[in-house]
Amino acid sequence: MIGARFALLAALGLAAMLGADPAAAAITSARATPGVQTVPGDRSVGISITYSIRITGGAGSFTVDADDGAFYIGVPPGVVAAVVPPGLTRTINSAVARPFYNFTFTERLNVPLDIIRQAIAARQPLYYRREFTDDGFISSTPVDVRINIGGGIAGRLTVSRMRLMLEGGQTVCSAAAGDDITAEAYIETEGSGLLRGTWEMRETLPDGNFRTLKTVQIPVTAGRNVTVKSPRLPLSGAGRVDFRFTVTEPPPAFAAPIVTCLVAGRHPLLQPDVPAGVPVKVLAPKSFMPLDRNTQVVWQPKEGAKAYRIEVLAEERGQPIAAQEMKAEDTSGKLSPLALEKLDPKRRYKIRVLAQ
Amino acid sequence: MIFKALAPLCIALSLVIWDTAAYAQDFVFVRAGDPERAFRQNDALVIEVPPHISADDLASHFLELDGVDITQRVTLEGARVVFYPASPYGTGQHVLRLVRLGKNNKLVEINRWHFIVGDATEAAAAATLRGQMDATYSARVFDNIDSDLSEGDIQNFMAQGQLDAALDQAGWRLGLRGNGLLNSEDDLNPAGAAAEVGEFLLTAEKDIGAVRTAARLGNHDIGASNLLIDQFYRRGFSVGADIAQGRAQVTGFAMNPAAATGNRNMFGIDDSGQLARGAHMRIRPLQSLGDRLEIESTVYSGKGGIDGSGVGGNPAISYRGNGFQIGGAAEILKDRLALRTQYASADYDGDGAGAEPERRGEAYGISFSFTPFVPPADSGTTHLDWTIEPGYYRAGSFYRSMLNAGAESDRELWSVKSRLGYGALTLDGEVSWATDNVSDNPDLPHDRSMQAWAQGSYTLAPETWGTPVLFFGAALSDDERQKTPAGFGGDGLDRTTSSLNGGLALSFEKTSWSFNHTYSALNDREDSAAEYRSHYTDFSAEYRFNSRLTLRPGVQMEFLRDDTQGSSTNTHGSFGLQSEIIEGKLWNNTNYSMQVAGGKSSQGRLYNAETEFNWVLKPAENNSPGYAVAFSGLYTNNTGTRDAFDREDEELRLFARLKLAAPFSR
Repeated sequence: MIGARFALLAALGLAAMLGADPAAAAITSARATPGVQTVPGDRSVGISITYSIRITGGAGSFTVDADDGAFYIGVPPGVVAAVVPPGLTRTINSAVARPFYNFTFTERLNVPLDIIRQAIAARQPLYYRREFTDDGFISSTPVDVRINIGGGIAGRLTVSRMRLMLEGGQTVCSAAAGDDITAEAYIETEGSGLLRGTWEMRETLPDGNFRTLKTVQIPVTAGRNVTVKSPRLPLSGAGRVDFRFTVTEPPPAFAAPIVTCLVAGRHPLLQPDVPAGVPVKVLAPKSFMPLDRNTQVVWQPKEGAKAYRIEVLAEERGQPIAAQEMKAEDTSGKLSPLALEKLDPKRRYKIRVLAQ
Repeated sequence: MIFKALAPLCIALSLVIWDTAAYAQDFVFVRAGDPERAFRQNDALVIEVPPHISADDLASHFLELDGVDITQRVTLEGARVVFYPASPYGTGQHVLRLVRLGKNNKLVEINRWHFIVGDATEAAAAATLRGQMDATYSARVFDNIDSDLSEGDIQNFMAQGQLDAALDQAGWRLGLRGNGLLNSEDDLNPAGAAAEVGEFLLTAEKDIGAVRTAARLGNHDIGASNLLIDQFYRRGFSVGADIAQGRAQVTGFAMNPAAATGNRNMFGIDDSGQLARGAHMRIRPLQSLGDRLEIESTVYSGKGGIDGSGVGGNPAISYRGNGFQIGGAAEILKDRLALRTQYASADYDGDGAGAEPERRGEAYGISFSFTPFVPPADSGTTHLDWTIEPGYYRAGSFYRSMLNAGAESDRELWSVKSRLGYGALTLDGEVSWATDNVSDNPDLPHDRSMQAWAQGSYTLAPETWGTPVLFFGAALSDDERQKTPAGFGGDGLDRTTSSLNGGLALSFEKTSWSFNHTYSALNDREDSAAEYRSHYTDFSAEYRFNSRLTLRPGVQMEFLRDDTQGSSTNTHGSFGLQSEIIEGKLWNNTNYSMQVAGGKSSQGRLYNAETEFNWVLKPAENNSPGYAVAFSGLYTNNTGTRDAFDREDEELRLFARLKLAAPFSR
């Protein structure tokens, strides 16, 4: 409350310094999205609320603010169960007269378990209210979010928690250029709906913007936990690379976590890959075909070879994903279960044979 | 409580001792030559085969050295399997794995041995040190950003290091691996320090008779996966003993319950207010029955936050919890029927301060794995590989474990899973029935969800044009309220979610293509969720023109119609280019990404282009640094309401960079 007022005064002072007079305006509409949210009755839950406030227009400086939020047991004004600081405030300066102005506020709200339990005991729905006022205090409008309490199956989709990890659970990994690295986002949800998100990375500079690798859509039902696998993360050069999975719908009540890979070593130019032998001509498979335990690899023998090594590479210039050694007298062999175990059925590989 | 959990283990441990002198009959890795000295670069690897393993049994075993299957190159010399290396081993630590092809063609690790190879001149000990340091100095030579840039924004120095060391001396195997970061701007490092440790692990192992002991300090997972502890990769300390080659394994641990990187709480055990302690035990008591029974148990007690790096969620607050778990897995019919059952009980204090009451929750489950047709070991012919897994899982409304934060609670779940493979066809599916409010809270409704899904793929014959792989799947979920308490003020529940997907992947010598489309919809007859209809199309391709030029275009298109926002479209396009312009000298990496939203979408437009040219002045070699100069450009254009702010940003930044790569090894 005090924070909101202070911010309002600061905004007014700043506007005055800039020569813009606070303009009188009235709130014409105010709504919260979602207006109704169902949460489970057995745990604290984070929800994200977006407030859309429209005020009458004109030219000048316009500010909208809101007092501290409050939980109510039953329809407000009823019993205030808890107050949630800080207040919200935002100012728009416009030299040009416009018919109206839209203000958007996003709040990440934690609904504590003890508040939920009070509502259950009272057999009342829970409400969360913000009261918005314009800077001229011409109008004041309460905006309510009704919080129904049910199990994790009911309600609109919410994302309550996410764990992002690289292979094996790492959050800072060591890797080499060309390595086949993927990440997983393990997302805990409540309710049903469409989960949308983007896999993003940044590599040029640590303060650079994230660029989108891929957008993702997943229908989520009944609050089941969801695991979202990333596409192959491109580690093209030495340096630091950050990854994240950003949930865009429903907006979560937390910032997207980041994991980091420290890419070093086998940069194609800085340190070329040294194969463990001399490549020999592969006679089969000649064209693209599925790799399974019936795949026959045939190669041209090399005089003086003590052994051969069949390598399955991630792709052009990729590092070996799987390898198996064969005897000096062999000129063909099938991929072993140990090698096949390391391959992902949805990816493509290249085979090379090295004479040792 | 701990004694309650330990009692079955004591019984099982007795069975181990009673069962047989098991370890004496197992595979034993022996050192050729003098066992007191370190391995040399051309030493043979020798494994003694126990007498009860027949030649037929041995055919289903595989040997792997440092990830390379060497099975085809070993020779059987009496009761010994011997591997002669074709080329000298590299100096440093090596791992030899013995793996058996078990039920359903799954690979089961039988044993794992570590050994260190010294160079030819070393006599009694072997030690290796490997690593790499990469550093980049960047200077921003141009930008159009309308702000006062600090010196740190204009110039930046960042470096990263990786280290891998091993020492084998007097029967001890010591290891260290880790990484660290430097940045001239503190807040650009993950934990906010100018110089910080990333992740690291110190290990010490020693064999004492038939007992293998190990101690670990740093970021690691103790390897347990059950209802109480799962995916618990954390920083901390653990010590374990492996008795009789896996017959009994005991691990004690003290770890930070939150995922941590950086310099604070460096070892994960520095802060007693942020610590989880416990033990995990696993026993296979019946070797004479082919190790068909395995019993495990876990106990823990801890306090502190459970979030940390890589985790987003509710604000980190202090928790307190403890619990125990016991479970068993048995192979009832060899290669056909297996069973796993578990029980866990956990106390949990959600705020750690007593403001919220401490809760106790229980979870238990049982699952079977049935294989109706046992495939031949290596017939090479097409066979039906089908596994059916019925299961039951129940977790109380207040079941929480600090070691398994993602465990689903307040669920009673019946399910049947199926995995089928027949030649080029794979088909997986599941039917499940879930209910909530399992503690029968009279003030809350009882909801149920019926779900069914299937996902398959079919690969056409290799001679078919493009060797097509078809992907297809469907899912259906029906949610309904079973019981509504009197006076309940919430919404009803009656909804159906459905989805269909199909795709095609084509592979040619120089190009590969992938296309898939998903339709999904939610029909809500009680208006308690956002109804939607969605079409999602994903297309990606890769062109490998030659070894020096690769292009990767991709497009995802979404069309969404929901009852809150109306119709919207969102298109994301990306283009990647990697080229070696002058062989061995000049390299370019370019990426472009574009997102365009239409209709009532809350997303804006986002354009991002990055390119970097690297001119290598000197290639790096071991113990000899290499360096390169680079020019980078970064262009971004944001328009719209991302992050809920109306904004329009256009940024262009150009950098001159000096790069140093310094690998080292000894």
